[in-house]
Amino acid sequence: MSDELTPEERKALDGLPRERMPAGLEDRVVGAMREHGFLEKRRRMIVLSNARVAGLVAACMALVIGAYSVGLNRGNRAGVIPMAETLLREKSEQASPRVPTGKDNAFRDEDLAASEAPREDVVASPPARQMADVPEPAVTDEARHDLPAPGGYVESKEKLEAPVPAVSTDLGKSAPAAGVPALAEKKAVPAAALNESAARSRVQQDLAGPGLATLTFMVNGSPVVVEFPDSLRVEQGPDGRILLIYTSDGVIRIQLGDER
Amino acid sequence: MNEMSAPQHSHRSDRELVDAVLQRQDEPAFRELYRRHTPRLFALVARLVARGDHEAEDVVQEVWVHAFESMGRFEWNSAFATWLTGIALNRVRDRIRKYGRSRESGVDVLPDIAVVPEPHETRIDLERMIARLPDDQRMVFVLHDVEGMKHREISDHLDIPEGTSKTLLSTARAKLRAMMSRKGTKS
Repeated sequence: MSDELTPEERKALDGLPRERMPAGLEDRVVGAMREHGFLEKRRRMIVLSNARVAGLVAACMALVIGAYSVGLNRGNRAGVIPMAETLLREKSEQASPRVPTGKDNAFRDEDLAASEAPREDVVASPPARQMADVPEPAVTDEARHDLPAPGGYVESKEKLEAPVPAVSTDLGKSAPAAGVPALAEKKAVPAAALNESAARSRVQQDLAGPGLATLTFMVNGSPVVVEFPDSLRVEQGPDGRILLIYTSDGVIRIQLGDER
Repeated sequence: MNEMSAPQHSHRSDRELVDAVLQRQDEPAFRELYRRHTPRLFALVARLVARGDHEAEDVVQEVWVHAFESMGRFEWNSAFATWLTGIALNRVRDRIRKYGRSRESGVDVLPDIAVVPEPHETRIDLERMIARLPDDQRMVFVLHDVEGMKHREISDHLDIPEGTSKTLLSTARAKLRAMMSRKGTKS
């Protein structure tokens, strides 16, 4: 048998395909060439179609609204409420003059005179406006202003006669330095060098003027502010006169010192 | 060996396209070069490897990357297609040496064929028979009888003596005839 190909064999071999193009190999090879640095890295082209622009605008709006909402929420929690409290405190301090004591060196007479003068720039709270229209009542030791109903009074009296566990000595510790306003809510004040006549005049001023919203005392040189008291009363206790301040949260009892 | 540099998509020569890739990393130029040479390169590699298209694709990818890695050594004294073919043969030979054949060659596992085979079926049968040749015989047979290379070229590409190439070719033809004879007997 000859080793050469027969014409039939040659024809069969010539009929074999000489070319084949594999699908998908081109991109793979191009990627490999790119990885080896022979081809330029593909730059991502972002085509801004109308739909994409609309989506972009919607996303931006959602982002702005979301950020605004978050800021508003945080502002309500952390910024707005404290700011409102500060403004209310400042307003209360402006509306209620301070009672000078012997130790309050920072309290000046001109400030007191200025604070006692009628203030038109202070917007009185609704109860204050109502009280401002009421004729000035006479203040006596037993005078009671805007006292609760008799039943409530009895209850309040029971509270008064009961021992006051909240008569704390930590007020002096927690009270700020002289001249710095401080809130004293639901705290009974221990007996202090508080001039009864000054307190009485102060009560009278608070009841008469727009300063009823707050009541400010100077205790050992530190201001004590009672916000929105319901009524005041002075009683004779076993150890002397007692100033009772009725608030919506309870009764504050202050042992008044001897009148000098 | 047949030259494989006929332009398909533009009038630019292989050298112009290669220069565009090397100088400007021009991807369209590379794609044109790829589409011009890969169909023939892939058919050759797939026939030589005879392990399926997936492995042939790996080899073709390696060929293109290696071609541009060693482009500095190519002096354009021969056709770019011939140079690619040489790289492909080296890659195929290295791969066969490294991994060996995944299955035994032989005529006993030939599938049944139709009694009167159509031309298309005959071509498929012939491809299967070539694929069943031993690696060295198959490479020489494909390069000589399918691709049209001379024994001297085969000797250079495969780094074997010309006499060895002729012996391998003779053995390969004899085995193919035996396969065809067995197929004719079965039919």
